[in-house]
Amino acid sequence: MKSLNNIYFRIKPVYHIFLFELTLQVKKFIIFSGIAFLQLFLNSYIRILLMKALPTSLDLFYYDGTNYFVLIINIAVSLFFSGIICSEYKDKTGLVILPLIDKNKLVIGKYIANLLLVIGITIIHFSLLILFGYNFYGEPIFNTWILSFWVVILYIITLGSIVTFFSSFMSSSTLIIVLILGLTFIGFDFIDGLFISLFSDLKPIYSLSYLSKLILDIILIDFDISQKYISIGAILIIMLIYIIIFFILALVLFKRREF
Amino acid sequence: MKNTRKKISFIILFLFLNIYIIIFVKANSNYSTGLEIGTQICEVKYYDEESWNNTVNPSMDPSYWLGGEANIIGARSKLTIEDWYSSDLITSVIFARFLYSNETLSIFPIIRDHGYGEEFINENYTHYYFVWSYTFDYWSFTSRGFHIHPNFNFETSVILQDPLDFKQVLDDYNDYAGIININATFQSLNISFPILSGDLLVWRMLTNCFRYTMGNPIKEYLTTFTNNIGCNNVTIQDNTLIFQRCGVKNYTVEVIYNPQGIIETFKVKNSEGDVIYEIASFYPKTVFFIILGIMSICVLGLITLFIIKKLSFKINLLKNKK
Repeated sequence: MKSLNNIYFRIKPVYHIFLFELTLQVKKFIIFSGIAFLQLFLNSYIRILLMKALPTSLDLFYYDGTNYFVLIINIAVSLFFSGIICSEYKDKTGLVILPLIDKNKLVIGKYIANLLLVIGITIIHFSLLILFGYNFYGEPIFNTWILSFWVVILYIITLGSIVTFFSSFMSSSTLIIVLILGLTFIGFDFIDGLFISLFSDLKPIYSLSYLSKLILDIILIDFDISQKYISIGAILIIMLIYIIIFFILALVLFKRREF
Repeated sequence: MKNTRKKISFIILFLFLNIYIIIFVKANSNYSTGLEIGTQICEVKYYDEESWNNTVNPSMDPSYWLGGEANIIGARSKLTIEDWYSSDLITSVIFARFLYSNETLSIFPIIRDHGYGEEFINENYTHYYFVWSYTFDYWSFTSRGFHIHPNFNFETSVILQDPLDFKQVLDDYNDYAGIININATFQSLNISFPILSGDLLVWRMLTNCFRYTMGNPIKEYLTTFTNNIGCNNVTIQDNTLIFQRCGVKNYTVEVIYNPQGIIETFKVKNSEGDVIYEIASFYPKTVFFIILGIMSICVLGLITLFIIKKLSFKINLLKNKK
């Protein structure tokens, strides 16, 4: 009973931070959910209006819809996670909170809240994908859809850890957003191009951009994973390594950081 | 400089007028297409095998007409229309899309090798047809859930913009089939083309329903089309086409078209008017709009609740201040 009480008292601050962060970020969540709906609407009804045509199969419809969603996810993760640590220093709110709350608990509470919100946006997108797909093509294809969903979740956790890491030592969340968007939109692709030109036999498995392409490729019915990627297992391990290393680094740097 | 400007203006004017001339030519038809991009699912709702055997033909069940497992109650077929567009087609293409059976298509390379292929057709039958072409995927009737890949993938079919053109198509085809059938070489190869009557053409359209859709307004289109090709056993009532047929006994096939021009229900009735076979259809978009409606109501409800809560909070605040 005593140990249970201990656990409860340890978790309680994390829970309160979690709830506070949820209420703080709920507006962003609503906006991104709206964007998720809008991009599917544009990708279907507006496309029909302009081109009088839809993708030739349901898996291609999923592919096109998720293609834009990966961009949305990159922006959402940057916006949600960038302020986790650095905002406490920039806005000086940490001066009030940090003497009272353990730094690890603060990061964990905020990280889980933001993670849940971005996962919530992803769930909304994937549910709408099924709904819009059903509208135009009938019965959904669940097996590839669910695989892609899990890869997205893993990608969010990975990118979230990296953004949290940057937030632990950088001063401005705007700078982090620019850096992450630059890396995911251009940076990794540029580095990958150089890597492939130097080592044509190797695959750029270190690259987040390369990993994010699995989200799209895996959604296609006829996609053969062994042709383009090493294996799903290897990719999962790489993502897990990213998550663990960057999250631990973020905690360590945050502990040492002072005002 | 001025000359160049004049030339450019002239080219723009020419292109502009050309667009309008094309529109004018295309608008010659009184009909339109109601086709929508999306999916229609058909389901076998009723099949009385005994009545079928006693009325239609004991050696041919519904799957002989409609393919797949159309003889199983609950079996479903799916038609997904991916795009549609207006175009004009030459006779050889119309023949291939409209009239050739699978057997005809399989022997057509031999016909082509002997100089009676597309070139021959287009040289001798020079009519152009304005059509609405559409691309579709089709899954045949199945009772086990649809396979990921359709039975007919990325197929194209057409709707003649003017139903009067059916007469021209049929006459030209029968003339062409006559030429093939009297040719000594083809006779020695045992190759012949079937001569099509109006009734036979309509029957083909009914049994390959996913390939043949109608223009709008349906009633006028069907009436003009069937009257023009000289159908003897077909009557039109509103959007319903009734085909009188004779098997073991007399029976009728009743087909109702929806505003899109696609078959909505397919019924086979005996001479007493009892249904012995029925296919009905539904559209996933109906479910989609119901779900979307519910979601919108929920979101609106939440917004209203939020506004009421905020307003009552402000009112309370004002009261407390007073």
